[in-house]
Amino acid sequence: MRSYLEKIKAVHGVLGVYVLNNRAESLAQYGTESIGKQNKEKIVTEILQILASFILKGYSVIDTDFMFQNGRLLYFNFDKLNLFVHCQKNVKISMLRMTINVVMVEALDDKKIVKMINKNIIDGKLLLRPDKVDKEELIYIERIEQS
Amino acid sequence: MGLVGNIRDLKLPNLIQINCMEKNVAKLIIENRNRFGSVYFANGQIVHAEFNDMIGEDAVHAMLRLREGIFKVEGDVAAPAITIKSNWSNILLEGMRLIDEDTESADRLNENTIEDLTAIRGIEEAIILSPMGEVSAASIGFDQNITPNLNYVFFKIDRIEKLLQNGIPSGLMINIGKKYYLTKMGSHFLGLQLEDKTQIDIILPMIKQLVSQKSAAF
Repeated sequence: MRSYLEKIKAVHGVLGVYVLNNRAESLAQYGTESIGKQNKEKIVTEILQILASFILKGYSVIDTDFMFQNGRLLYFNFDKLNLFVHCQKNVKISMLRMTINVVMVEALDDKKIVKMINKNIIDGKLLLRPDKVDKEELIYIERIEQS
Repeated sequence: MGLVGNIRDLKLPNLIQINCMEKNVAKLIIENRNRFGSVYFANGQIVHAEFNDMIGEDAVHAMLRLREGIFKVEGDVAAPAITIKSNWSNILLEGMRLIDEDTESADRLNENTIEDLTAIRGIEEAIILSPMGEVSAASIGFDQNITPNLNYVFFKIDRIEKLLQNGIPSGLMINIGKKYYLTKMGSHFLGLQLEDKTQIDIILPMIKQLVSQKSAAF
């Protein structure tokens, strides 16, 4: 996995590349944790919960791009896993997207990667279970379910 | 113990009407998100009112705009001052007229903002959500079925903003087959549906400029 992540990290402006399952557990990563390990874990969990809320309504999320003052955190649907790329604000986004597309196709041809994916398949809605969210959040989720 | 409730269930005009018609000497206290107000009644009229820094009829008019808030009516409480001399029904009518006027101008602002945004090349549809999550305005083709999802996203953006110590998030682009760009606009939330081939980086400066111009009004 590392060699694939290295190729993405090689794009100018990329700070870190992370692969997570739908429980927000890190399976592989390469690069720095410039937003802090704890913060990164919390933020990717929040984003995975956003994705889960769309899955709840029957949509599948292809990619997201979270833009903040000093950087970007991109998400890509990596078969049944989640690929996050943290990069600087000035990253060449078209180059990054192209690289990710090529790397993902290569990786999904690799039997070891396919085996790893199959070993880590988890329901995409898991992070919205009542024991994973607080009361305030539960109200939003109920509204989504009822809509 | 006096009457206690929420003005969401028992509207302020009704509370005023009851106290005036029954000629109560009473104090009505209202609390709305740490803002406090009071209305004093005597001789079948409103005689004094306070809300934040406002006193008199202006305070009553401001409280009439509140959609929710805890209220309590305390009997036999005399007003500390007499600041209102108009008839209670005239005060209510004027308050309603002012609300109508404000609603009309807010509607115009929302509609103009939607028009300005959808005029940007690459933006197909737009929606503005109030801080309470209600649709303030939307272009005709916006798929409002995803409004509950958008409200959840905005709730999450707020949370992520608190987690990030190195900056304020400017927005989230999400691709669910259709592409959306979601961001804040003042106290409101803005959802933009983008054309398939739109690259967010190209139109983002225009969106940011418009949002920053409009933010003060929202």
